[in-house]
Amino acid sequence: MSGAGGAGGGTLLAVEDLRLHIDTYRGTVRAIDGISFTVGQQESVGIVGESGSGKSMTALSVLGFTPPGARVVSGRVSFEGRDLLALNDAGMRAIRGARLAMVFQDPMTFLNPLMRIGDQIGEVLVTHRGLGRREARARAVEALRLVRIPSPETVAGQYPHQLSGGMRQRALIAMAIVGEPALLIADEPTTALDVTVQAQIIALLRDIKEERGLSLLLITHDLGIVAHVCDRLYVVYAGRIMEEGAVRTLFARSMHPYTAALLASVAYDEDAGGTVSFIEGNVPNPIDPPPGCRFQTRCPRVMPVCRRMQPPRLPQGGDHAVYCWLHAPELPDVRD
Amino acid sequence: MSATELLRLENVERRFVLGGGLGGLLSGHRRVLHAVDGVSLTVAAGETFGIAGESGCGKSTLARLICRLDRPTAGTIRFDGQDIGQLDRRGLRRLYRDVQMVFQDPMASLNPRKTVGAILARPLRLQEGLRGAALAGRIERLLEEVDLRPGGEYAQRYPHELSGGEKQRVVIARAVALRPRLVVADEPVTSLDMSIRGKILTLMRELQARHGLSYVLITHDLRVLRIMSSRAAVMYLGLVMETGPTRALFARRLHPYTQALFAAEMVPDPDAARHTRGVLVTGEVASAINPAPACRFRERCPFRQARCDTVQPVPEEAAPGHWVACHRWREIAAAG
Amino acid sequence: MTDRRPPAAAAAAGPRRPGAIGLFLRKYGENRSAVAGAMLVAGLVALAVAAPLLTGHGPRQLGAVPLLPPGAEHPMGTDDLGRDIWAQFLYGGRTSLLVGLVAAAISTAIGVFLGAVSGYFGGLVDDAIQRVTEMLSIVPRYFLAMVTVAILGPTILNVIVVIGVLSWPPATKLARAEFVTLKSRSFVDAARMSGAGPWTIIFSEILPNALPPIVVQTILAVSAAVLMEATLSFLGLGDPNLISWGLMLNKAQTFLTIAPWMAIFPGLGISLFILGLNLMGDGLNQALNPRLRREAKA
Repeated sequence: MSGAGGAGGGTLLAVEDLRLHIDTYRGTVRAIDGISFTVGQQESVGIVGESGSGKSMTALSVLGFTPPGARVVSGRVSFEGRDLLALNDAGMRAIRGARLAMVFQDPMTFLNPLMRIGDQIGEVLVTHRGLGRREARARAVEALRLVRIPSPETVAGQYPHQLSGGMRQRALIAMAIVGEPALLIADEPTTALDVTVQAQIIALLRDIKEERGLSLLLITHDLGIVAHVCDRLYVVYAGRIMEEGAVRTLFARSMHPYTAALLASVAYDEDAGGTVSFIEGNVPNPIDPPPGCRFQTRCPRVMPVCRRMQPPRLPQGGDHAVYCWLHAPELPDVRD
Repeated sequence: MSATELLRLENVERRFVLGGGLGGLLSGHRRVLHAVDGVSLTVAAGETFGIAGESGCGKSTLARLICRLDRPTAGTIRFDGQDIGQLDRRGLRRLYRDVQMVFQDPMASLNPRKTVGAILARPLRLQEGLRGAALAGRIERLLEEVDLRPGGEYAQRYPHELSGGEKQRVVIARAVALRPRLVVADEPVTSLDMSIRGKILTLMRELQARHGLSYVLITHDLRVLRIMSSRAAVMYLGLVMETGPTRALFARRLHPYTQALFAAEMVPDPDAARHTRGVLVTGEVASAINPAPACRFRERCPFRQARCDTVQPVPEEAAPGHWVACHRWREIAAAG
Repeated sequence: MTDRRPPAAAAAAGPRRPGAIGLFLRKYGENRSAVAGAMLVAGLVALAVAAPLLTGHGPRQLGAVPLLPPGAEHPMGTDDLGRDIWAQFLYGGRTSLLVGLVAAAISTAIGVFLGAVSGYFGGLVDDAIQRVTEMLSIVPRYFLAMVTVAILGPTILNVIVVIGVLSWPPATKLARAEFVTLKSRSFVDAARMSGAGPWTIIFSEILPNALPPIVVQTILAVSAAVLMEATLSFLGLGDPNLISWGLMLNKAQTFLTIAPWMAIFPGLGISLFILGLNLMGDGLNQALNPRLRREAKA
């Protein structure tokens, strides 16, 4: 395993300057507009954003699942030293089945309704590892046991519609880990679930990650889930990264006004009289985004430079970096 | 409840007969879903009463019953002392001057073929007989009251031309157009981005302060419950498990389900998150079809005993205004 | 995606509604066969409308040599009585189109109304309407139409009414399905709580949202009605006083071997018109389907 990102031997996935544009009837949507991030060995990384931030599209493009009309305009996605964007479909399928696995929000779209759970989980092993049916079935049952499904033998013989929402999500996680992947990508894995079940699945993801020594890339809008699961965090907004760093650092000392506002909007402080905070305005139109910093239209601390020039990545020591002119040592001259 | 009582539910029950066709008749056993199974509660004028629970707990059915969009199979709902089940068509129209609803999905609750102005004009025209310039002026003021400025311009837009937050503000404007006394809000911010939820909640509180209206707020989001409600009920499978002042509920969680639900909240605090797992109960919400006369929560309850399987617990007043429906609440409370 | 320009920018961009229509036209325009279909239909309608301008002959005007093959004087030849087939084709097209449009309007109106009532109210009303619809769907429509026209007499009005009244089941089923889905959307509850009665909700809230598939269905109904009229006329059950493509085919039977042009041109008219309508229906279906609505949101 080579250090793909060059940032050290521990890097598993490195995405560099990824740009993904989608052609629609209304114009070109700049869904991802220059995003770079890394996931280290056995690391748990979160990508947090609201609707329109491009967070899900980022996960999909790493997996090679880009929607119709989408083009990767630039960027490199290297995983275990291989450039995923250069792979053909067959090569991508081989990687998805083995080293790279995914869990999505709605398990029903990824489970074949006409196939028994055990067979679906085992199929990865049959196609990619050349295992026999019986062996694959046994491994599937084992995977179901790993995701804490009670009586896995019974569940392996059932069809998806016979399972509850939480059980389906567990089955999907079992399907993801049965090929012993190095990286698990989870896109809003608990959004469709009840609160108590969500807690169970989050705890399961944490446990599985530890037990199997895998890396986790978690895409979510929920800062609470990030706090529970992730080591590092990237905050994305309108197709760009705003701030990145260790979860504790960002929660304690966020430097970007967007991160700060997002954290404030989910906080609840009884002593402060129960006031709630929020961000005024709307997410910018991705077809015609504002120049300069993407957050400038809603930023409470906007400066003239923010309206003109895109802020550079400003390292703040350790993993922490912020894309915001407020923290630039000196500002470029932008007067007309 | 010292303040004037506005809404009173007495043993309200809503059952749905499932698969009522020929098959059900022939096989002789009917499958009956007890969506709401004997709920009693009161809401005072000017207060916000929260109802929390997971899917299948009956909270949305309850909302529809209070709004007379559905009728209870047993029990009575009184608004301002009047049994709303007895209302004729004229009475119902009068009721809808006082009782309105904010729906969960703003996209589905605004007719996509109508402009915002036309949507808001309907109640004003039918109920207050407003026409022409008076109507247009009222719509404009209404839109500006929910911070959609300029109101005249927003009135000409179609719902798909608005952001999620703007749509929900239109829904709220429609709900308060006739200056109702009670607004039932069913998950009003669930479908919205984190950063704008606070905006909607703040707006709802401002309207409440200005017009003295009451809310029945249905939510699965405990943060919303804490921010908004003075009193609350926790429901599970059609029954109220625990009810009381919101602060007391959070401070002294008596029912095992309340404890499990509240513990499952993903608090956005990495330091706290490392030490909690959030999982107090296993399994998922069971079904409310043909329930046995027993505690609904028994299958998932860590405190289950023999009598939980045979006797349905009756609500007991643990503290003034704080009721709990659990056989063992005293022991649980004593154990801390 | 929940993005919006600030109101000022939107106001500067002018009225927003044409955006949706423009989007629809672009989407439709991308479908080549749908454009071809629309052109075909528009062309045939234009010929029928402009009939007196396109031929100097009357459709019943005698005088030319009978059974003349297509040539310079008579581009489609003449029939057994020496009448110009081009003129008959143009005027006959008027009848066919009129029957198609009016009959489709009748069947759609009945069908949508019954479907709307059935879907919105449900219960016993729904059961009753559904049973009647099923019964009418089972009985062979052509047979029923022939019998009815034979009893009532073959006037153009009778033909139109019979076709219209017998053709509503597909529209009913479609409208019912749309209403069942749409009535559970919360904007219907909201309208109820605004004080609107059931008929206001049916016609002003739900129907506009159900229109796209109904439009497609209506186009297909026009083509079915044209075909049915042609069949009735061919079988001698059309209005004998009005030339239609079906009647022309009926007359052509006897001379099929010696004057095939008598059959070819009206046959071509019917085929092309139906082909055009069906291509249009497909195109509309694609352009109006929910994907477009979603795209308009983005």
